[in-house]
Amino acid sequence: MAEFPELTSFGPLFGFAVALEQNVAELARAAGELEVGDAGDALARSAKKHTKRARELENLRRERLNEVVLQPLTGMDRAEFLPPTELPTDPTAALATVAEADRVAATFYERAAELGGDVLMGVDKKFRKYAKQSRQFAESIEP
Amino acid sequence: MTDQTLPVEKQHYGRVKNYVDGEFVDSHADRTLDVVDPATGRTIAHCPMSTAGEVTEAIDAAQEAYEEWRETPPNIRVQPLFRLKTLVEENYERIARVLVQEHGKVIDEARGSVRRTLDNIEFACGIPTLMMGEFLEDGAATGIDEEVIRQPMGVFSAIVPFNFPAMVPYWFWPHAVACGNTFVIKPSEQVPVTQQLMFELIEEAGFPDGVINMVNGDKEAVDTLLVDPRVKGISFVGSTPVARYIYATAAKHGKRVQCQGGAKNFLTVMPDANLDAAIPNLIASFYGNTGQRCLAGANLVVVGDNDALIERFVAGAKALKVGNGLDPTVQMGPLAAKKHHERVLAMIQDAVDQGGELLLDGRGVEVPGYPDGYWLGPCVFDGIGQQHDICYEEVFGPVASIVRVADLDEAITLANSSRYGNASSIYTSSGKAAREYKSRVQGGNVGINVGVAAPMAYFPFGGMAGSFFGDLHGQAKDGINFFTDRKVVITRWP
Repeated sequence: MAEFPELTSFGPLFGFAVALEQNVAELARAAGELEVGDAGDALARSAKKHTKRARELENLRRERLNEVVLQPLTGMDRAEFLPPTELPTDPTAALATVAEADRVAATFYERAAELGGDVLMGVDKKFRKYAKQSRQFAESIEP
Repeated sequence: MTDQTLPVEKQHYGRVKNYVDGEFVDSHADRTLDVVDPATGRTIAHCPMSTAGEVTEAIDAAQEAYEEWRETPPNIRVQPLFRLKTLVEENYERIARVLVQEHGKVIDEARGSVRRTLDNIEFACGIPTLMMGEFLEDGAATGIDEEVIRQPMGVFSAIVPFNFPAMVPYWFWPHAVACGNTFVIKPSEQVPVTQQLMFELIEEAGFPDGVINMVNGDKEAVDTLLVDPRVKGISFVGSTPVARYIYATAAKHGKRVQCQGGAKNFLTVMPDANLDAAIPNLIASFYGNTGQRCLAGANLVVVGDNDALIERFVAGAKALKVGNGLDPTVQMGPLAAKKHHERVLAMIQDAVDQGGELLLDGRGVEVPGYPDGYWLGPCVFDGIGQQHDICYEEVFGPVASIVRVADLDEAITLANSSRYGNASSIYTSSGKAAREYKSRVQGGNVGINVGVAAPMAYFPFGGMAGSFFGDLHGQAKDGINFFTDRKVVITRWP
């Protein structure tokens, strides 16, 4: 299981987001291997999308990091954003778990975006976009 | 220690080497200094104090490489820098972890300083455009053209400090080398390990032998660089007394000099400041890099009665998580060296003895698992005034002194009474107050609602008053002017 750090500053916030993406990607990939019918393609695409988002977040963490605005972060409790990590073998339950993981991701990005551009080094729009994508996907595969 | 703590690159790096004429070489020096991880108190390397002869060999190599390098076209000269940029990106995390291990900064700060290193390499990659001269047809008279060409000058050197072991050399040498000069770096003997790693990447990037060299050492090495007539210019960053010495000695020997000295930065908070935005930014300024940066906040100048500001500032400082910077959730690391730790503790005690009220006392802070680290938690003094030494003396540690003033004019007068002039900031929602502060305050780097006014690589970096000696600052176009001579050519073809 990926590490989900305490959300104390820019680096851990992005570290958490990367872990979240890797986790959701893995759930989607694994669910796609079950008997999920038409949802299989969507899950495969989602796994790919989350993997791409993890890479993008790693680049953002590296390229946006700027000591001028590196400051302590408060008000984000990691416990509120921990996604499910175990996938049930029942396909319906598995789809529900993947949807739940995407909803957790969406909530994380929505809350993080509210921290504002200063703390996020200007990537709050990107977080809102991720949140929207995850919410839409969760709704689309909800059994 | 938590299970998230990042691994160290190595437990011990051995005796660090010099890099001369394209090779890593052992110094034969008898004297060495232990390099200590300030979080653990363990020795992680030994730094030789290279002899004058060894420094002269590095200058010989740089001088020999110069003629061929200066004749290499600029677009070719920047190719190894492009390769170095890629290598630094590939080794970004390794460099950051070594920085934390030898200096004590937290991992995000280390990553940030690697980012700044990259910014400067990227800037220098643009030298073929940036180094262009000027030409004016009929500039002298009808049929007589006039132009300015920029030329490299020879061997340059940088003597760099302990607080940013990766970044500061890159304020200088990429610009110098891309402009066609050759270079000798003298890292801080306290933190030489990061430069070992950086020079492994430099070696891989494929600079011609002798173009970029490194010697480890102390005053003997520095003095050799200062007096050798083949060294055309010196860049220095460190304390003001040493900056003054280097400026005077190098200038006496006919060199160009740019010396960045110490700082005592005043951060003024107006009654109309947005505290929600200001508090975390102030905390970052005073306690980022454990207060060991020339742009750190030192005096928190409170205009008018503002108890809410002080309460929230103290609470924010108190909440910082202190520990080993390799734990990504840690927000403040140890002080960089034992001697420095002792010095900062003594300054705190002096301020207490002089009547300063210690609202937050970080002395005695303990970090579980790290009994031998050079720890000092965030400190906040109240009731500081011009009669206290700490109002004017550079602490270079996580210590904020609250100075209360009546109005903006008094705040500016106070800031300008400092013998330093590196940075200063104002927090306000008034454009008029900000404009006045920007115009009148003595500071080479001014922040408006920004607590660490650090110029990016494409802007010049330098202070005023006792914080800077010289005329051309580091980085950006100032760097190009410093590392080139300008020659005017007037041409007529009858």
